[in-house]
Amino acid sequence: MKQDGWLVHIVDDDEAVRDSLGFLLECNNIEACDYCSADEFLRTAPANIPCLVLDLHMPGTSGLELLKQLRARGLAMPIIVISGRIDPVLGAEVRAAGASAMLSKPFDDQALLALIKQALAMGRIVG
Amino acid sequence: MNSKSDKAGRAASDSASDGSIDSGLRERHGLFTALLETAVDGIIVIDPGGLIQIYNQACERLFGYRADEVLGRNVKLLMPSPYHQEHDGYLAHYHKTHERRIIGIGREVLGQRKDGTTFPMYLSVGEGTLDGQRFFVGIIHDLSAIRQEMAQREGADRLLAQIVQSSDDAIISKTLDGFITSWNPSAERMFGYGAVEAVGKHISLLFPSNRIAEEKEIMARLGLGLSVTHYETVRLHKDGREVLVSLSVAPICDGAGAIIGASKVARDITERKQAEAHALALQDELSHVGRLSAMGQMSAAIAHELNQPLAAISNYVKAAQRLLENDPTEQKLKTAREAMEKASNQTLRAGTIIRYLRDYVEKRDSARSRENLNEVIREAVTLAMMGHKHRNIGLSLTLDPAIPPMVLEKVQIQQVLLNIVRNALEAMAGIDHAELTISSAADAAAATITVRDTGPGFPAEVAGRLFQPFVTTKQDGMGIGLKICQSIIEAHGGIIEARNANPGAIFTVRLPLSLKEADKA
Repeated sequence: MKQDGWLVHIVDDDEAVRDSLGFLLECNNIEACDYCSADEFLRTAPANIPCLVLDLHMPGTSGLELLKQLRARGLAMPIIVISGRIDPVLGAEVRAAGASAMLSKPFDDQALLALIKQALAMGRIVG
Repeated sequence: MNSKSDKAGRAASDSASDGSIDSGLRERHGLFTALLETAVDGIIVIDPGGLIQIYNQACERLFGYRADEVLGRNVKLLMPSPYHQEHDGYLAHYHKTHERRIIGIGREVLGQRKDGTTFPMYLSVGEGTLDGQRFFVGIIHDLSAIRQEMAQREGADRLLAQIVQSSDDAIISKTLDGFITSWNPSAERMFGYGAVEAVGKHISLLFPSNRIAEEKEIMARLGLGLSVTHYETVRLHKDGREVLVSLSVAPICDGAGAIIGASKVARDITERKQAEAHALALQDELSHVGRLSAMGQMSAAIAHELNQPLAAISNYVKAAQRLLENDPTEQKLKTAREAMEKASNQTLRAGTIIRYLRDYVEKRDSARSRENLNEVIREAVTLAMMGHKHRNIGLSLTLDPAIPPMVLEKVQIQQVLLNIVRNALEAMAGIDHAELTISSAADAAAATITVRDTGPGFPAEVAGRLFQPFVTTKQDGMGIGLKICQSIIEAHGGIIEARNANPGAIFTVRLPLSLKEADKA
């Protein structure tokens, strides 16, 4: 049973990751909407987003750049960064840019679901 | 004749031209004057006191004094020190003792010009008597030109000798029948025999027994007036060890152009040959190092690549687990099975990545096998695209299915292709219409692989030197990648070429179809 407004936007260039993540969320009654690049997200995503799961390494605009752009526009929605390659320097940069949380691929589904639920619940209180 | 000459011809105390003498005498006088003035050598007549009586035109040229400046003056004027001071003494001594030192003989002395400079001359002195009066005739032959030429020739000879002495190459001359006539210090170093030992011996001294015939061939060429250049062969050191040499032999001719011997220049290439062998071994090693170094750069990318399917697998499995909880419906079971199928596919994807990785890193013994070239290309391209932000790059693979199986070293050929494709991808980073076109084709003799990109091409300054080591357009590049590629392709008997295609660059690799498995890579 889907819960109202529980919608997560996913930006990742890897098709298998997008598909499997959407599937995982659906099985946990969370709706997913995915984009294969930051550029596609910027072009087509709605203005008001409850939660974003964002990959870092992508062709074109990178996840980090997108994160910075969104924060620069004053958008405060929870953004969970996922990446297959995070080193300490990059990690610090991502945090400084305003990521809500950061997970390395492959990640524990419970950890991600907990973060998402927390983000959505917070958004619900704030909104 | 000018007035100066007339004066010279007349001589200081001449009274024979007063017009009172008969025609025979006049004729003789004319002849005498002509003789004096046309003589190329200087002619001076002095009286017993050393005062100049006659001084011809040639003398004016030699000494720089005009006749009227010297006539009646002491001849020592024309001599440099110490003759200048001693000449009066010589004359007095002669008058007293009649002991001849130069008179009637002649010798080489120095003359002094008006400007104080001196010159070598051959002076012959004769003695005569006229009207009871003694006189001395000096004939002066200028030696400066001859001396200068000799000095030059000696200088040239000395220079030549120094060059021969100091040359790093052994320089040996020999007669036509092979006897050594000269032997420089490098010959001594190279072959162990001293010049004293070697000169006079037969050149066969240096020949290994199985190469004696070479001398006959070389001499036959020389007989035809031809040279032998950079002929690589083996000679023997005194201690019996073999010396690898590069020989240049040229005929030596006498002044008339007849061949009288041969000069032989030998360069010791033992070290060069060893260095070449060493370089080959190093290249083998370098190829491995190159792989590892590229590995270092790639490992992060590959770890990233591997984490994608792992993340997907984890997601699918966890989702399926979720679906299977609490007595699932038929629909949930079906979806769970689909998820497991997708997870399984992702494990295969991860496995492929790891297999490529292992193939790439392992240094294998040179081993050729029969391969499907298109399969080799496909795998290399897959590996090259891995970990690259290639989403916006159009890839077109046009592989000719008619290429027969080829004998090659798969991992090495893949390394070359990987290098070329990764270069192309890097060149096209951030370009709008990025297209990578890879094709294969074959004719009767060879298969050709073509990789074309739409990047900026090569800058003019490196275009001609791409395959030299340490040439790179990358800021942090070592510039050894393409050099390794070239050695690999050449080891396969093939050719690798690069050119600008406008836009972009084209790399072409041609591999012969005829390589045998037994050939060493």
